[in-house]
Amino acid sequence: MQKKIYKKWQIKKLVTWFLGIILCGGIFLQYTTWTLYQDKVAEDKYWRGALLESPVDEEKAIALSQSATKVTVGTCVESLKEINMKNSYYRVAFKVWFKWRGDKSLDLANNFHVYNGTISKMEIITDETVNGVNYQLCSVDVNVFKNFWTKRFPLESHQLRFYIEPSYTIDEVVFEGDIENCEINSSVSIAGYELKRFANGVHTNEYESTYGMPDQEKGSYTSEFMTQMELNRSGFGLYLKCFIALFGTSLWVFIMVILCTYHRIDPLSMIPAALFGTVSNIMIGANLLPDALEIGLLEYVNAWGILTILCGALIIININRIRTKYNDNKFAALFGRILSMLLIFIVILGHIVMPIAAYL
Amino acid sequence: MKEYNTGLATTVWNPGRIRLLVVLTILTVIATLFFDDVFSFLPYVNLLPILFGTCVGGPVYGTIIAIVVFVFNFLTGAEPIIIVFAIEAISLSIFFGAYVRLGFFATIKGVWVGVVACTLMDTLFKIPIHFAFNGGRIPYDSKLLFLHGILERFGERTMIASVFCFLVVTFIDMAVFLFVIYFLIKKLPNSVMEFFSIPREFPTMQVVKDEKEEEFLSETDKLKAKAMEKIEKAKETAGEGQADEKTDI
Repeated sequence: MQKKIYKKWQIKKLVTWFLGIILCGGIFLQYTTWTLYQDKVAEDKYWRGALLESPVDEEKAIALSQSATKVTVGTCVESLKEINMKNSYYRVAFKVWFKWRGDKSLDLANNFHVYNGTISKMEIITDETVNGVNYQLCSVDVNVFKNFWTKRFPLESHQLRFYIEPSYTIDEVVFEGDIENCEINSSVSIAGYELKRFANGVHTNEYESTYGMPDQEKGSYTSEFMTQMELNRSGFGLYLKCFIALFGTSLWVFIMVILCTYHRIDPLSMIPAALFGTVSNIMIGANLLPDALEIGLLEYVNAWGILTILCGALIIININRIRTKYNDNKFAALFGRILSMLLIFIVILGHIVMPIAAYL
Repeated sequence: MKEYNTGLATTVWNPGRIRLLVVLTILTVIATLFFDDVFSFLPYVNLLPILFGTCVGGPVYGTIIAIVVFVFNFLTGAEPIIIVFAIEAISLSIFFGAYVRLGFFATIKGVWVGVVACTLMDTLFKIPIHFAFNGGRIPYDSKLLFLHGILERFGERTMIASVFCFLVVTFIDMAVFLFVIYFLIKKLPNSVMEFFSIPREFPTMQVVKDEKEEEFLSETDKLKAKAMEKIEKAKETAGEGQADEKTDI
């Protein structure tokens, strides 16, 4: 029968470090996977919420719009020309059409704007009246301001919405959606993303301000037509680009820890280079995002990399201490093997579960 | 210079161990295919043969069973949740194997400590995997669902309810597994133990204060071993003497 004899300090050291790593790593992974997953599933709620949006005072809106001209609106998104997360905008080219009967004096093609957008080019393609139906078709190129939600960057998804709003208030014009004719170009593509879904809806908007108009007590109501698209990262390309240096430095630390465990070599002097590499690695992803960083996957993975290096360094320091202070090479080998295997396992697990929790 | 061999991952291969590997693998597959669905309030019985194998043959032995079962399940079109099971089984095999080899499993107190340690190890790894795949919602296992339902009815948040459920259920599972393994190895008939080449005794451990006590203990062990050897020899000699007497008569 095999009998192992341990000194008290050996048991204390082994249990303390084992529990320390397992608790820190486990709790960190639980928190990060939970928050990333919740953020991911919240997207669906936002998507449905945007379609169901209702005005603050529905009865008043209906009363005001009794005598308004009903204009049928539709959009066809032709291309997504740019997504600029750093400067918080995206550029979209689309066609929009307006159809209505009656009031010929209305000129919607020249009397609409895109909420939070700057129209850089607008061209009226068709402006005609057929069998009493007024029809206007325009081609629009617009930059829309958007605060991109970057918690799951670089595996994030984005919901891009733009609202077409007439210059007329709701007592003059009410929008109706021409939903069945709304489309998005099936070959629309933007590097790194794929289209997940597309939808439209009509909402009533109530302005909070009266802009100081003397005869008004409350803000005016307008009808608006909403187009929304959801884009998801098409793969793990950007993720790898952002973290490949970090994976390299983590691998380097694993080699250092194993080297220290299996051979009597002190590789502690090689750790600072890895730490510098990991710390500076965050700049790759951060350069693509707005300056005010939101804590998310990018920080979690980088923090995980820094923890890996710190943990590796602490294991090496402990192995060295066991060898020099206690002159106990046998226990140093045992301690090193157990903790290095644990470190490798938990680090790899983290690099698997965090992206899975984030990717839609 | 290469360091000492700790013997943690050493695996002994002989016909008995190969027979045991086959039997345990088949038992794990059967447990995965049938018992988890039939007795959903019982522990994950498919972990029991893997942990038994780990206890007998070490971490590598248990890991082999876990991988073979995973490959079998994968090829027969099991649900994606088996990935979680495979990671869980492999991590537990390595951890529990090392725990046994280090000599902590030899006593009842050691078994209890093992239950707590395995629970901690298992849940801290299993929960992030579960959160990543299901976000805290429990899509499988009636006993987890049952407990989760109770906690949510009392207004507990999903995250805390999930963590608590996993801790409680894993603790019960581990207690059942480890005590079953302990008593199986202690109580199985000799013929079975020999057929599968299972050692009756576990590796043991002892904690000492300093080197002097360690030396004293090793010396005591050596003397004990010598004394035992002498006693055995004396018994053999006495046995031969009796046999000679009987022959003379």
